[in-house]
Amino acid sequence: MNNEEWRALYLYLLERLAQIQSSPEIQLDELMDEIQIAASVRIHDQVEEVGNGKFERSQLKLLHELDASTTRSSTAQEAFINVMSVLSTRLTEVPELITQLETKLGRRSSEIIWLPDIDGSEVVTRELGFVAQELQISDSEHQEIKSVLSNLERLIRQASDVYTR
Amino acid sequence: MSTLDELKQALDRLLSLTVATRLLQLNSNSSERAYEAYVLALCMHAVRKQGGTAELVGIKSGLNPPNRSFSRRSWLYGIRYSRFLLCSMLSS
Repeated sequence: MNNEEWRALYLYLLERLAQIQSSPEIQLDELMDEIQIAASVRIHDQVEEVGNGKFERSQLKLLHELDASTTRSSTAQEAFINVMSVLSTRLTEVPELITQLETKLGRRSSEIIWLPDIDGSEVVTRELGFVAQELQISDSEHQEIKSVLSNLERLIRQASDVYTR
Repeated sequence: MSTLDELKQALDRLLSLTVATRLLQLNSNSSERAYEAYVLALCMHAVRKQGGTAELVGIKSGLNPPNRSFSRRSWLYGIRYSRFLLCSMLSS
């Protein structure tokens, strides 16, 4: 796909998420922020050649201390791939973390709560913590997400030359 | 070679999953905190595996922070892990 098509795909994703968010009980603010950050990440390119290669020993030492990379804005394709990694983290990695938490702690997810460290006078609000159970999904849901996501990643790979996941 | 339309359809399929919507709307840095909890659990697991015990020491709440409930609901917790807690690992 060309750059314009990747850009159209990215805008389509934002449009779909905005549609989902239009439902009053669904809040995607944090996800939208993460997506914006991922899409605007600058790409580091390694500098292959420095000058004409003829340097004195003292100059070479100085050159090694310099960062041998340059940065640039991401292309639409790279931006979309970065955004996919945000979705993939939320949809597959976080639920897997909860499963691992249960195993390592030997507790059910309903018993695992993450709270801020506060003294007795402070009030614990729901927004400050999480209940592991909320991030857990069933095996069938996990399989379903994995299958849909890997199909999407396969299509992206076919349309792309930089996708490495 | 896949087309733009095929990719749009695949995105639609993903976003139409109820479970996907549930996970995508997690706020309050839940994913970041899940990673923090996981790292802490790995530390505890490593200490226990060596036959030691691990204790949570809150900078504010002290040793073994008391059971707490969120202000809007009342829950009982079997185990609590708090952000910014100092994990003191004592070998037995």
